[in-house]
Amino acid sequence: MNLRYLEELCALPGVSGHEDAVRDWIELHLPADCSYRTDRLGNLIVTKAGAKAPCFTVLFAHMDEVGFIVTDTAEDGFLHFDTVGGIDKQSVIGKRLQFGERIGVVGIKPTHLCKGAEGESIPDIPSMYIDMAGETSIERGDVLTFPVGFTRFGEGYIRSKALDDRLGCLSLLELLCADDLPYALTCVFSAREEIGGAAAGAAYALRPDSAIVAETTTAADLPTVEGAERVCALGKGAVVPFMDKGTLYPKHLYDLAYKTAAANSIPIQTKTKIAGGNDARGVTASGCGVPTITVSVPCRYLHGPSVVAKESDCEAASALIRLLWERMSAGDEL
Amino acid sequence: MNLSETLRTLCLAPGPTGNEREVADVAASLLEKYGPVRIDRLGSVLCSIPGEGSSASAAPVLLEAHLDQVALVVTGIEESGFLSFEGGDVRILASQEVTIYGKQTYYGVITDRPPHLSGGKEDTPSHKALRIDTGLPKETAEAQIPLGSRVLYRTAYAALGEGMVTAPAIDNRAGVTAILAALDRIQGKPHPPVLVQFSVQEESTQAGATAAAFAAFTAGAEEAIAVDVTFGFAPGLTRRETLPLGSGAAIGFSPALDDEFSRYLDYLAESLDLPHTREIMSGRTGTDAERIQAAGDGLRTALLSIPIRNMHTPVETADLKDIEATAKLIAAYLTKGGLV
Repeated sequence: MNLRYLEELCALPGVSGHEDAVRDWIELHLPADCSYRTDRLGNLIVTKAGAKAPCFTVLFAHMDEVGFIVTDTAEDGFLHFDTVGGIDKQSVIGKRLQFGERIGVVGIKPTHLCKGAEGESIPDIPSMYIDMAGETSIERGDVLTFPVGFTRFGEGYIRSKALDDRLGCLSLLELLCADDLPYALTCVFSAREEIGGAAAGAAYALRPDSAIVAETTTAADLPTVEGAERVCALGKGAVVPFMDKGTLYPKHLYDLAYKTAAANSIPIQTKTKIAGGNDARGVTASGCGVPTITVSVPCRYLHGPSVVAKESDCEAASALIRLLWERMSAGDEL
Repeated sequence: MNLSETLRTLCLAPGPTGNEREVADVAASLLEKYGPVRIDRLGSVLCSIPGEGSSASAAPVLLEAHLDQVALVVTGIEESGFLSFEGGDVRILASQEVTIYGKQTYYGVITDRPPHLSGGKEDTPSHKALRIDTGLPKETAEAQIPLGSRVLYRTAYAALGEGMVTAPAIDNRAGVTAILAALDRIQGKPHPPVLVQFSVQEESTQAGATAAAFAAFTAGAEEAIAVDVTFGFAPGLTRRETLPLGSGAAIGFSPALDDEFSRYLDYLAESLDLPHTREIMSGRTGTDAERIQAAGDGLRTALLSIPIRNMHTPVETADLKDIEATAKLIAAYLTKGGLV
């Protein structure tokens, strides 16, 4: 995986409903044999020319990220806000946020002035504020992201905002750039996944025979979490779940994913907890129904400013997505 | 002297309380142009600046600011290179990026609550549920990160809006910067000898200020100005317990300080039209000031503070105008009210 591209993609602002910068970047990096259009909901639909596949299999990855929306501007330039997508208040307090080239900080009462339990509890989002030092150009409805910053650390780990789901976007882009694909390839870079998803509209328009969602998923492989609550783990490969909160994945696609991974020595793991959900929900139910499978990169601290993934898992997920797409396109699962 | 550049340089240098050597070296290099510098046995940076002109033979005045910053400390190495730790404001720790000062420096991320485990009744943040994620194999972490290694937030120094800045360690590199800026202003003007003391360990034991102030007492100092930070106004706080950012030098008024000295500084700021406020405290100031005034048989001590927001977090925020006003007031005092 091209980490320089990943860093560029993660740096782009793309709060749900405001995916323009990500869409523009992807369009700019598409190879010449791709045609593309943006639908009314903001999904970018890309087709790479090639032979017609027996089974039309479309790939999805979402462009948007969780973020913040300004709900009110108070006196002294302090801004009230709400979260766009699910963000734990613990991930927000005492952090910086990004608004274009400028930053703001989410303030907190100094611990010295807290009384009783106040010093050990986190205020709710409606009581928090963003301090932008009296910045007056920001308006109600403007959106902010977690701060830009990409780090490689430890042995093979990466950390950034927005890995969810720029990792999926880059997997799809790299596949679109490949020059040895057996069939024509259609990819949807979807909008608004974090607030329910616009992907179903694109799926309806394309009417695929089957679909693959390239995603990230929560890994809780921490010393403070035990057993099944860990969900999945970094370093153990691509994650293909049998079920999550939005989708019951078809058994034949689930089995095909594990057979394909085994035959190609790609590390693969399932989720030990029914958690999360993604575009597969909307895609599955679109039109007359689309059998869909998800291939995810396990990530720690998902929906926070410091999402952590492992490079080897990104490679595993990318490799599995390609092979699975080839086999599903060939109709191998039938 | 560029205030923002000096503050940035000081904020970028690590100085966890008790291990201040790197920031001490940076502060020492910034002081060298004003007079001979030494680092004492506890690690505090001392500089002795000869007097000039008619007050050259007066008793030296001590200027003090603490150099250290709050830090986390590694208390255990666990599976997959996760570190247990203590320290820091538990409310803001999740997801922060940190630097670990082991045998070499390592990058780390403090863990955050997985979404499927949040929102329950266990909503109180706790060190028990937090670790530092190093991405290192356990064996490497055990070999390279001794228990007791200090950990600092690695949030970079940044401008916030017009004229404000945010970074960890503004408490109290802002005070150090104000003193350096004051020294810059008195160059070439008549002033008494000045002893500068950038103390270690204010955030933990205050031993640094105690020992160094005794040295200043031995050198003949009779009065001292301590410079630190105080609580700035923000939503959720009252005007009674805070001071607005941008309101200038906060002159401490407290039974624990020298009242006459405080009133003189207030008069000076008033007559020179320097931005200032009074910070009223009913007892101890929570700064090095008490330790300094107790040195030997005592130094008359005043306290100047710079209001900041979000104290002891990675997003401490200050207004450069307040640092500048504090520097001007110190310089005015040293030059006996001469406009500088």
